[in-house]
Amino acid sequence: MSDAEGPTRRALLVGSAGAALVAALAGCSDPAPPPVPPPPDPDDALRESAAARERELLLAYDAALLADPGLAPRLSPLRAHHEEHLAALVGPSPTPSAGPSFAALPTVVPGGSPVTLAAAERAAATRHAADAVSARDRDLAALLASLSASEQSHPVALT
Amino acid sequence: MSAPLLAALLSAEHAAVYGYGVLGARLDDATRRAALTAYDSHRARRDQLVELLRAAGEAPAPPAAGYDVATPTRESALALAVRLEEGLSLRWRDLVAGTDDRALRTLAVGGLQETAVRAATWRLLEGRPTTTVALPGTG
Repeated sequence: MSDAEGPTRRALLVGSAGAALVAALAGCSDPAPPPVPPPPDPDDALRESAAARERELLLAYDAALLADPGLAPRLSPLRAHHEEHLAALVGPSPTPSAGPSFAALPTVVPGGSPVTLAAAERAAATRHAADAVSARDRDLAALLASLSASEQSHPVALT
Repeated sequence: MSAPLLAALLSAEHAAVYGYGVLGARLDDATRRAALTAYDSHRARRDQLVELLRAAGEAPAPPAAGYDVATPTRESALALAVRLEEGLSLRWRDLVAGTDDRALRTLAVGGLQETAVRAATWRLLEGRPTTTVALPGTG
């Protein structure tokens, strides 16, 4: 068994020496510690989740409009508000939306009737309101509060 | 300090309490019930603001001696209701943007939601084609 021990010990010694060499070289080639990235701004996450809620509502409106184009006079002004909400959160979209599009729709779209849209609006309003309270930036808080109030009022026009 | 914002809100709530007291007379029964509910809500908000100002060591201002609210018709009564709610929306949003206090923020977001919903309800009764706005409280 001593035959087997020799190469193993040598391999270990060479291996650790090699590792030390690599560590020393790494130390030489990179004298400065890597820059510490700034901590993520919690408001960015709030802004992004609010934008995600607006995109979901836009898809729900598109689904409802595709299912019943006759709803357009009632739904289009409300859908336009969500476009405005999304633009206020993330900036204007580069290509203005041309309205409902099959390509943009996921396989299963929640909603589809004014009643389910009203429920989705209220749920989004509740989430926006909670985030308006949590936001550090006061302008973001005020924006989220307005979004929340708008969506809380949309069911007036839906039901 | 949010006391000036709370004082501005109280002033607007005083006007709303007065206004709803006047405009209800021009409405039919069903609509008047909605106006009465709004009246009660504004009285509750007024009392809440009085308490908050007192707790902050401020003297809450009383209502003005009179308000210039002429509502001879149903249309003018509904238009006044919309104006009162829109004015309050502006001030609730100002409070959201003017405080880091979570309790005050919560109060203000709730106030903005309520006034936006009532404004939409009155616009619907006015027969306006568009009853809601994208950004309540921004004028």
